[in-house]
Amino acid sequence: MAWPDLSDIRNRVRDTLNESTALFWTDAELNRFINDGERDVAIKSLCLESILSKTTTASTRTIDIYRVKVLHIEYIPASGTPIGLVKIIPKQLGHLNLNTTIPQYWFPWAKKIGIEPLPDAAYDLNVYVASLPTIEMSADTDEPQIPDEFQELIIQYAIWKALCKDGLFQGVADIYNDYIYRLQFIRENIIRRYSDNKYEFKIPDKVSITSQS
Amino acid sequence: MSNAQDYTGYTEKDTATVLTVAASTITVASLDSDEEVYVTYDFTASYFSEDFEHTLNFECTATTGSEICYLWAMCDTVDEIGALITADTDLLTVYWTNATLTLLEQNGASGTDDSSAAALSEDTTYYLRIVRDESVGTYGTLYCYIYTDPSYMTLVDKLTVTLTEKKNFRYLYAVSGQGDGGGGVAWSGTINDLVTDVYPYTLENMRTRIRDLINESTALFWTDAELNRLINDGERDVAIKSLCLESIDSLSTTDAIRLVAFTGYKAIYLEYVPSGTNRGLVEILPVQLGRFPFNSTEPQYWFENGLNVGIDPLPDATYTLNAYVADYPSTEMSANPDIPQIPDDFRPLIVLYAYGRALQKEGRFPQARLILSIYNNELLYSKMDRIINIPTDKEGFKHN
Repeated sequence: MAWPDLSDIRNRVRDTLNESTALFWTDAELNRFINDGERDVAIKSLCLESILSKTTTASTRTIDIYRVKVLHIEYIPASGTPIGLVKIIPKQLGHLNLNTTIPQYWFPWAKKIGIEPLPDAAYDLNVYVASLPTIEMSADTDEPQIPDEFQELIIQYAIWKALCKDGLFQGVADIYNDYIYRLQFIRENIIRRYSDNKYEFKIPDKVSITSQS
Repeated sequence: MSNAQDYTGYTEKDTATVLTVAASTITVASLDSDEEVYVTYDFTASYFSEDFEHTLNFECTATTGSEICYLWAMCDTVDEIGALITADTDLLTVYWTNATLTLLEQNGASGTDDSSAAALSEDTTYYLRIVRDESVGTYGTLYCYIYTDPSYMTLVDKLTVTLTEKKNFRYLYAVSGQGDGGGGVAWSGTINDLVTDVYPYTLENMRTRIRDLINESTALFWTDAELNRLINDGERDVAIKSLCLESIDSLSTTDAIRLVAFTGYKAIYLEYVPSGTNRGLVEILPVQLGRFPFNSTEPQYWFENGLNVGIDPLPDATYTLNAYVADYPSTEMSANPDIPQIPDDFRPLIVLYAYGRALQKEGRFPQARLILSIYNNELLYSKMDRIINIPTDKEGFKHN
């Protein structure tokens, strides 16, 4: 069994709460905090990434994408090179240069994506999304769906929620701040991405080595 | 094991060979009403003895009229559901017939049901939540929530049956034919993703989460009615502050009238919908009216005034507009299984809001301030991260 499953996480929460078996905090309560924690990490870090295949419908601008966030969209032509679409806002509709009728721009709205120009046919798209966990952990051997490097954050989340019940609000503030700090740190390390820029590829124009005697 | 059901572990009877059963999908091809078809699982006697919530989705792809397909059922006996009903067998079921979804409790010879008011569509995926709440009514109440999206934001209908007996069940059905019908009809489609998890952000489960935090597992100092009010207030507060409940409303101008009413908290964008290419309109302030060049009499600029949008130039005809608006929750949650309308990634914030407000009742104001400041920070972060839409700029395209 891989680490961590629900009971591993609950044990670690209980270690910090100094209550090795259920007394003040029931297992059911801690399980709720743990499942809520997994969702919270997934929402805030956008770490549960996947790529959805979607197809446009002629004369329909929007496609349903019920995920936490749409990150990127790629148009997949029947032949030739797939191409990334540019993100816009709805006020730019009709004001952009369109060189063909194929999808070129997109915007998110109401858990949908809108495509510009208005699709005149079925076009295939790859939609890069961040999602919520789909399954609630209930058996002790159930494991979180978020990536390994984010799983320890669930413990911190469950602890600050558990301390609320105990009325230990100084601890709540401390653990919550630590949770948010660590989450931002890991999101910055793992999830935030930048494209290479020109300057990172610069090499000296000319290198000459002269012998010195 | 998680609570996502694996249909391949279920017992299948398919004498007509109309089923294709995969782990999370059952494909039904032309199911006739006289065919012996079902997929069921034995959870052992009296397994379903209390409240439950089951979710699934389905898409009907072809019908003939008078077709029937049982999409979900619970019973203590194994046979086709139609035949069991004829035999006056106790059961619960949700079934499709003639573009209508019906929730049925069969109690001996007596059936109690509720059907969807409007016709459902073929080639549309519907998401169902089937919930038994034994705290409502003498024997409990059975609900079937019908949505058109997996986040449960767009409720098509809510079917309600007040149960007439307290009954535990053993077998769960993932699909069944009628079995004893007259034949000559057909239902085709897919049934997917049967899960027996309880949705975490129902009204009841949000109340439970708040009670976890306030350390009062059953109503004593805080009544359920109070917490329900705080939860509904919380949904509105999240929707107002984050503008997360987005929709696109179709509006029309009237000749010689500048203002067009919209519904919602705020209009964010306006798009003119002519017969040719749609165009986003430029937002202005009323002080700028009449000071811009117009290249036609069509709508080109807009401003917001109360619950109206103003159009410039002054409309000289009926023009169609799409208003991108931040909406408000249209219904109050009252039944235990009700779910907020705001997007699922904003629902956890409601618990924090209600918790902070509940602490105020106890006179713990510094603690309430801490929790409500956490709530406001999280709300602001959520809005900045997922609602504010930053278009790709030139920098995003720089490369070698």
